[in-house]
Amino acid sequence: MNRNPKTRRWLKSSVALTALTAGLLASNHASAEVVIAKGETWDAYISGRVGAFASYAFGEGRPLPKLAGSTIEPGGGVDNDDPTNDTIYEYDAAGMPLPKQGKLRKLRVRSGYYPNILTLGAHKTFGPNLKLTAQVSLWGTIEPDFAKGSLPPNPQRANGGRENSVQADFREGFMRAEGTWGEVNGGRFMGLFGRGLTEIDALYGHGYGVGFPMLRRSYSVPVTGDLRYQGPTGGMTGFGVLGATYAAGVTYDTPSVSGVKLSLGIFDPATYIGAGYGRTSTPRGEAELSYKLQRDGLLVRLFGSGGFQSLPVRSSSESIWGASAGGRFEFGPVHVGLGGFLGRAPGINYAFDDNPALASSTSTRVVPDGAGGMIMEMSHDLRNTRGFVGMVQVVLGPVDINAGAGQTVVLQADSDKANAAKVSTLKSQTAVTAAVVYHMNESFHLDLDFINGAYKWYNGESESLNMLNGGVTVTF
Amino acid sequence: MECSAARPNELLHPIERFASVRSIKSKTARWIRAVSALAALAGGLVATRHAAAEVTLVKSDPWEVYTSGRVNVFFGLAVGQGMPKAQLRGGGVESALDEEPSTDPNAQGKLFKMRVHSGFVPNVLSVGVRRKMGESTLRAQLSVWGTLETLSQRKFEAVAADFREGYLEADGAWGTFTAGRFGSLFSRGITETDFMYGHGYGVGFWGGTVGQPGPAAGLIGFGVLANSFSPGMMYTTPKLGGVRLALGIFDPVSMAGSWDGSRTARPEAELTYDLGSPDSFFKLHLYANGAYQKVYQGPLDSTVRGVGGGFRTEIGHFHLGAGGHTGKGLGLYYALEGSAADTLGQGLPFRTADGYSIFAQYVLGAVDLNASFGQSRIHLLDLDLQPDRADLHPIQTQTGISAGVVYHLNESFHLDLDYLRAQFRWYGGYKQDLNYFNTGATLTW
Repeated sequence: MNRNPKTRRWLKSSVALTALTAGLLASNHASAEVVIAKGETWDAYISGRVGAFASYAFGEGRPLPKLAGSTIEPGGGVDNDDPTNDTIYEYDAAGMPLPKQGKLRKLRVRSGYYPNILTLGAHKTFGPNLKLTAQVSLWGTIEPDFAKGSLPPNPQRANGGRENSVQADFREGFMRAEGTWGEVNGGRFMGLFGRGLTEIDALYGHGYGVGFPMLRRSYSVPVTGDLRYQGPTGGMTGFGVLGATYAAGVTYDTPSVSGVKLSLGIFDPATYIGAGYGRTSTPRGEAELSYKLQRDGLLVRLFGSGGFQSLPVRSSSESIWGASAGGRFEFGPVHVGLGGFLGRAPGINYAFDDNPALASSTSTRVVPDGAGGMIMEMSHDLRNTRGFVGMVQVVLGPVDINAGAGQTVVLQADSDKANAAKVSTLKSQTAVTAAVVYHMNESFHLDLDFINGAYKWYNGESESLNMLNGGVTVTF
Repeated sequence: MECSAARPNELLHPIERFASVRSIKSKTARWIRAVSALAALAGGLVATRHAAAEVTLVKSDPWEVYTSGRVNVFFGLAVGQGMPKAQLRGGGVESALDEEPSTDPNAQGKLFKMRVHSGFVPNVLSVGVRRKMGESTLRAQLSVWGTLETLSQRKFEAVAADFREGYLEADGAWGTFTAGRFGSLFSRGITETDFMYGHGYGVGFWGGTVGQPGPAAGLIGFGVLANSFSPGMMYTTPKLGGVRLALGIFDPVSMAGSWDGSRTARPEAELTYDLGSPDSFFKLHLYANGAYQKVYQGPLDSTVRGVGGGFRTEIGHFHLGAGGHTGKGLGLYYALEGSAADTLGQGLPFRTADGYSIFAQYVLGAVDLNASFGQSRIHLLDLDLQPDRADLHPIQTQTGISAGVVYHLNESFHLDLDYLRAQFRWYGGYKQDLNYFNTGATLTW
């Protein structure tokens, strides 16, 4: 690292940035926290950020099926409401839309990969071998949700109503007990599976940017690309990055032995209703084995993680599982992150998040009907998915230059191949991205980023959307 | 902070509560502080009382800024029967998504479900300010609640922050005025009892479904008709010979689907009597409360009304509380919630609901041993007995039996193991029995 006085300020800001990112992402110790009260054995702290971005989307709208009489299975693509919200179509002289793929052109002012965040916490020590931490974080975007604000007219709006509120998300609320024996976390915090990939994206990609708008639309429909609903956005999530999520759970981390640490946890099980599985009975197990080596000018962090959950069906059960591995390498100003994942329906965009593209919509099986006969029912055969991502960051003084590429692939089940003439299923989600981040000081960060997200379906349909984003973030 | 006007409920004041029931030996002093914090938080969370567990953040004359809160996590297992297959009205635990179905489509399924989720009180962040204004004290407090678990167990779903509490309070020799969103009066007494002697650090009942977010309900719904946080204004008199009266008006509620209109604010009241000083071996808290509201459906009108009463007493290490309620259209879980248990439908009369519960707690060093029992009942109207309604089966009783052990490791860290058996009985002989096993930890500040 350059120790010139000119860059000393930037070094401090980078350290603060990294610490804050780590704190937000992995419920690690947040070095960026500001102590607001302190006693002999305790302290209370605050941290957070606010940001705003202009985001311009341009590209293709939802594709039309290539094969006559077929449909495109939901779960991928952009602008998936029916009718579409933002796709621009061409019309004939009679005012009827032409049967061709529409376009997307949309400019928004919105939150980025991280929205506005307010974090409050407290530490308290009980002797040399027990330190307790409690931390809660509220997240809120600057844009309102679909039904509110200046978006489509709301027919339910009462006269004089002021309804463009933003609902806060109690994203994080966890406790930690730590000592020389290790660390126990309990509450709502970032899960273990997918954490390493998410860290790569946040640290070397979009921690101060926007990326792709991979958005939560409703609890009953999948996360997909979208220009209408509120964020936060997804960075490279869904494009080789199987994003970790905040979930209810308990984990134990061993102490670090020569840089090696094992984390084991159980988490509240996730439902796969969209994929055809409504029941859960047992918690989801997740684990991460990590290795960290840090010396002057060198950082190596390797991770391997996995998760497993059963989905009961009648008196038996199916299993979903995923495994992920990768590493981050920092050689002076050059930072590289590489990783990948694979598994049986471990998610498309976020780890273990429901999506109809995780199971075949055409597979069937024969089962007893309860009256002595047999009936045919949907079997929702689970699909395998896999992905990989690579990101590079070059630090030039107070400027970070980031670039990356990633791809998520959904493999077909046998029934998908047999029924390809009827249903076109999601094949891949591929993205390339680049960003420039200027850290004006330890609190003020300017970002300009670009991402192209491309979707492909097995019958040859495709959709490509470009996002050009620019904005500012203040951290504290 | 002591004000000239005593607190409405002395049992919630930590010093008064525990000076008489805990050993002051140095060995246990740490634990006393722990439970003091618990009681103070109970006050803040349940009844908008002063939270002695608060941490002062800034003290700059004349203002003081403080925070308090908690985070917790619980592992739970629910085992038992699915919902009976019939046209049931009110009560029970919905299990359509989660049960293992029987091979007979008309038979009851089985339920076996584990969760990692929040407890009776979820994650809470409270921030408040206070200042002196002459002889009075002015205070404002905001509390945000959020569960750990998401809607429908969706993995990437936001947890909607619940602005559960936001009120101002002016307190002086003339009494206390509270306004904003805070815990209502009917039926505050029994809710406090459940928190203090039952499930304040536990889980209890998960609510009417096993797959949706909490917070959990403790013994609510089983003889405990809980108050709720509501917009309102309340005046509480100073204590006169141990007696205090709280009078409030609250934003009216509508009974969705049956009596949808409401026009006038809802009055609620609570009369309390407290005996015993902070260092007394024996302490007693008596309460009686009630609520009244008119509701409308087109040209028709009706009245929802209810009364509740009970007591808590602390005799050394032994704590006992009991209470009950009765009224028309009250619901099963939260007072005036509006449920299918209340009425047959739009514009039809309300059924009578009542219930009773009893809680016992024994304090054994740093360990609380808790046990409770309660039952809620719905009484049929003549209208329910008409032949054309023979296929409809309203809930008849909900009975809960609970036991718990809470270990206060220190003033901030609390471990819980609790069990609840829930028994639902519908008119017509249908029944559902479930057992809940819960264990977890809570960290308070």
